[in-house]
Amino acid sequence: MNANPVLLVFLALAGIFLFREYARVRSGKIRREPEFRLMRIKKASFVFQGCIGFSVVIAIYSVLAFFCGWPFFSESPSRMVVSHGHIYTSPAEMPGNILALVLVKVGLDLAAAAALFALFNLYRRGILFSARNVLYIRFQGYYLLLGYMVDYQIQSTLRDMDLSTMPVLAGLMIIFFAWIMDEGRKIQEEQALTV
Amino acid sequence: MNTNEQFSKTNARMNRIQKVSKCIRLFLQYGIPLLIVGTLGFGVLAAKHIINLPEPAHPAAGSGANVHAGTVGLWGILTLIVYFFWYRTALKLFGYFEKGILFTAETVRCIQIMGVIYFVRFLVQLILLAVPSPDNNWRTMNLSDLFTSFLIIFIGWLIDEARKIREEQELTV
Repeated sequence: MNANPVLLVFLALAGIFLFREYARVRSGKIRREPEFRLMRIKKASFVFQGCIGFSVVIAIYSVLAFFCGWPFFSESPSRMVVSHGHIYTSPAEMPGNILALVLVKVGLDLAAAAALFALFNLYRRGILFSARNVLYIRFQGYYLLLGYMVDYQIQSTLRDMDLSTMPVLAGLMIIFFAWIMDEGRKIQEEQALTV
Repeated sequence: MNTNEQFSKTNARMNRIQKVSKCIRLFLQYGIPLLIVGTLGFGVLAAKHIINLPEPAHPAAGSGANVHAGTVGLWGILTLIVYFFWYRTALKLFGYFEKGILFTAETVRCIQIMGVIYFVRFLVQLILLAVPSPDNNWRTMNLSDLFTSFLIIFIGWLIDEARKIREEQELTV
């Protein structure tokens, strides 16, 4: 078994969960009181935290497997695919600058996962629109932009460009949403202080 | 803080949001079509050898031997369709922000549609690129589309639930 079925199983489970929630909403069985809405947010945040934790464990193992020569699912030794025409079976095969950029990318991915985990932790505690929430959401936007820059650098060094601009657009959009949420939060705080 | 000071601060924030949203909407509405026309124009001039453009160091991966030509064409058409829906939804969303409509059912709907668009793009990529030749291509797939779609859909759902909580609390006697 390789990681492809794992991804498909994860998507199928997410699809079943979302379909089940949608069916409950449509059938009217869902409770609409504020406390039940908040409970739903907390439950969904807990599920997402679990998914993020699971993904981080798999990702860390895959990186360690590549550097230590361990097997990764059906691959033995583990491979790292940097671009379409560049597949490496050990760090020694990688040029030094590519290895450094790949490590930067891995560090960025883990930092973004940690920020996302912390964000869903806040949602799980019922804290929806605080300054910290906005900070973590904005971090995800910057992560997409920085990740694109690192990918661009890797692929231009390998002379194998195949990049889409969608991550840039998504990153800018997420930063904009975070700013809107922050302004909305400040408006609400100022209204609460009105005498 | 008295009412007048609070009112002027809130007004200033809303004005800022509306101004930035207007700039982004104008860029999307006029800037992107101009960029596309400009790029096509440069391509035509380069094809007629009127100007010289630097050659890419390698051909794009989509034109390599490993990817079927039909798959590349279908991927290109589906990408254009996805871009078109993204463009239309983004224009609508920034139009709402420009009018000062921030956290309503309409804006939440637009946000969730954008999340679905990223998810559809990921699925199309998975089916067209990973299924025919799974060994290498799925590993180079951009999982940021999947991550972005879940994040955007979740944020949209969260804003919607928070809005409904506030509305229900306001109706409470």
